[in-house]
Amino acid sequence: MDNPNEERLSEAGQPGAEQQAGREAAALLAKIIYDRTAQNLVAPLKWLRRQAGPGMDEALLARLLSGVDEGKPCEELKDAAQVRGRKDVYYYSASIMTAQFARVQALIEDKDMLATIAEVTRRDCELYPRPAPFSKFAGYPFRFSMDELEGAAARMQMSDAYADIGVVSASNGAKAFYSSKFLSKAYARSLFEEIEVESREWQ
Amino acid sequence: MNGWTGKLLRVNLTTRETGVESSEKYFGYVGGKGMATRILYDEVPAGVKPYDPESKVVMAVGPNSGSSAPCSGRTTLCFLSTFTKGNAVVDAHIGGDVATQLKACGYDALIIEGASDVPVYINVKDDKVTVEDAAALWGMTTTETTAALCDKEGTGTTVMSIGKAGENMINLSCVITGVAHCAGGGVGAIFGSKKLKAICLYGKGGTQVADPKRVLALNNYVMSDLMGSNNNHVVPNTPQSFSEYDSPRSRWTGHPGLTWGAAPGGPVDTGESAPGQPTLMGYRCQKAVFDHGMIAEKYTTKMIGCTSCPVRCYGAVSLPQLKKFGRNTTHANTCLGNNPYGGLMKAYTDFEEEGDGKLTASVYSAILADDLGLWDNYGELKATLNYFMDNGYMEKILKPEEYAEIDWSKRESGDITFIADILTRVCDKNHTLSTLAQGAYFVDKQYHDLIGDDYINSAALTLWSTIGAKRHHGNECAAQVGMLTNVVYNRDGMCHTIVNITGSGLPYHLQRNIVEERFGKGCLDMPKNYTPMNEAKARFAKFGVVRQALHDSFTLCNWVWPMTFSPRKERGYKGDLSVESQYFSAITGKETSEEELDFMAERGIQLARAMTVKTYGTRDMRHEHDVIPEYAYSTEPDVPVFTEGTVKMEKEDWQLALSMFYKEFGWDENGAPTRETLEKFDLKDVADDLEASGLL
Repeated sequence: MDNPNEERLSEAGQPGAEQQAGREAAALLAKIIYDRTAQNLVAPLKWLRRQAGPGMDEALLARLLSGVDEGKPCEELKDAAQVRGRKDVYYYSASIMTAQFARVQALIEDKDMLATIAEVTRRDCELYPRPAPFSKFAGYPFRFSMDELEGAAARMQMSDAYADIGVVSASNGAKAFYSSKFLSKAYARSLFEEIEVESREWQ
Repeated sequence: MNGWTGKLLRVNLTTRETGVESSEKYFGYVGGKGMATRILYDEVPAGVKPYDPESKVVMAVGPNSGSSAPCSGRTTLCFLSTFTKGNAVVDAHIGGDVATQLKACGYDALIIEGASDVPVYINVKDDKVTVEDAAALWGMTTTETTAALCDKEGTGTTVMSIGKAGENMINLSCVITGVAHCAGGGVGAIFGSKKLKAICLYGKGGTQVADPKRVLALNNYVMSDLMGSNNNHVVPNTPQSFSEYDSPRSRWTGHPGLTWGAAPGGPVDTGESAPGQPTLMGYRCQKAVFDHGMIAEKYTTKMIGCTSCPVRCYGAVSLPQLKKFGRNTTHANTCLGNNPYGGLMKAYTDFEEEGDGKLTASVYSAILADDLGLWDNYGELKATLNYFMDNGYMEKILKPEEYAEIDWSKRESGDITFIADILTRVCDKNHTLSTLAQGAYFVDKQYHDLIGDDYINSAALTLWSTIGAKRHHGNECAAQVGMLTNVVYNRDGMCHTIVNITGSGLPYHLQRNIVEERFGKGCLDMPKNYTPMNEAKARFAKFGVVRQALHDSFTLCNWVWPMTFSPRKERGYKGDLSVESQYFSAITGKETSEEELDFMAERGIQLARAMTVKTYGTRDMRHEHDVIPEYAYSTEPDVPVFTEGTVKMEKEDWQLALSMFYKEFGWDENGAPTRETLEKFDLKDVADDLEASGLL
């Protein structure tokens, strides 16, 4: 599923060759974004600002990234893409990271646990379809603790923004989030039983 | 000769004579299953029972094995069922190094016939074939036998052996190679009936291929562009940087931070292994964690697997907790083999950390069962033992002294030596517990007065048919489609063509779009939200079993193949179903289309169905064979059929499903092949045979 917040860049809008320094800065920025992406992370704008060293002041950084934001990157940054989170804008190299994973990393960087659970759960329920096991959020790359997940489930029950998010259990006691916008509770429970118990029994 | 060796090895255990014959007349059956089934038809008359000296075991491989193709290290064994109704023809499959060694010795098949009076083993070293004394091996576990024969015959020897279960002709027994690779179906008991303790294989030859460059190109194509992980799950288990999708069911479990925690030299991170990195494929499937849970991570030493397999689906663990039970502390297995009998326990006692009691029980039971050569019939034996224990039948069937000698409280207290107490007695022909390892059909017959109709029809047992065959896989997988894939078998179907699609991890709409392109609209329903039967489903089901038969004949692992899907977005996640025929052409030098190869594979299915008709002595397969138990119609009683949340079947719909499936195969309404169909597959002699028996 394409992420509407993601913007891929075209070669249009090349800023011009008159500023060699700018080209070198763009190449350096591209490398910083690439190296961060290679670690399976996105590069938050705030973090990128801290990386700005000699030859790349804040104004130049802003200009280069605005090209990415507007889909008019310079040649050096044509592999860069961005995803807009709630708390920041995040950059990544699209050649080595999917938009979907960048979106997940942006959610993690935003550190808004309820929003993360809700967005991932809604996508899973609509797309696959299936509920999202607690174990998914406990594992890579989210790594929430089970206590945190139990707490999040309780807090989401009290928020109108997450009124559609509920919890179902399998016969082995495992739990999963589901969205009533896309799955009935009974169907979600049945699908989760298949994921958690039946598919392991009938390998 | 390319692909095939062109030779059959025959070993007569009565006379100890050996001989070599041409295998060429069987090439029309591809090899493996097809070849072995035809040999059995030609050489074992109807009416012979599995333990008769006239009964035979045929071990066969196809042109693919030894070629270097991914997942080609499979061997098919064909024989008479020991444990299902009618003792009709079945086949079993073994991995490890057997296939490549048999080819390296120079043979497409090994025919084992006759019966010895004393324990023996067959020793094949290239063209030197002998029948050796095995008196000193009789009574040994399969691990001990393997070690003893490797010591005697030399390192590098592949050993297939039986344990106590096979020696004592327990119906549910198997042959083991490489400590844990198993050929089930009861073949271990047939070995035992022939006093055949083991087979040793050591060859220095190879498999000639017609076009090595084309084979290499195909290998690279398949491993870079088409293969995912175990069961060809094409998306990872967790979100990863290269993937649009993830699935908690996926066996592509490797990810950054997940390790082989007990690897020599320190933990090995499984990391990311994106499509296009074939040398990293072996890190994708952390099967010990998938099967046992996260607790297994720190005990995992590595992943292993069959020859020529890049997937590596066997999770090897080293578990110091097993020392106190006097067992090996290391073991490797996969799927149900990783936990065949731990579920006999009602509780687990932890040793060093929370959860290690259950893990220890699982590995302990796996080691025990593999050492005994005891087959679980895809969980049926465990289910049967639990059924008799949970319903209070043990006290009624066991002799008082037999019942008294077992400490049943261990089951509740978490003392896992209870598993050994039970399984060793199950393998003792003189103990009544062994009657529960006859196979569900015969258990039902023996104890019907006690257990009534409930046992054979129960959800606890989950058979696909009342002939005593386990569901593996069935209606839990694409409803009627999954259940139909069992119909052509006289045991559990083991068809993974369909479940690999539904379990691929891709979103449903992508799965549906890709398979509907080939089989038509409506062939694949939403998970647990099924619709009535249609012809597209029948075509899809037929494809499932034809490809399985092809894989078992070629020989190739149906636990991974076919390549219906791909992990690559740029392919639209569509795989390539013509790859088998491309390999066949490159290996044998006989250009063969996908349709032509499927036709050859189907020939073996048609023959096996005709053999079943003859063995059963009736054409009425619909009512004598293809009968699904009641649980399949009554599960989830509060949920109506064809609504969200159920996999239950509907009786009239199942009969319609059978009719449509029969039609796809060219069978009549009884489910038996017609003369026209048999002749279409060059099986006129089989049609004549059926007619002479009044069965056509």
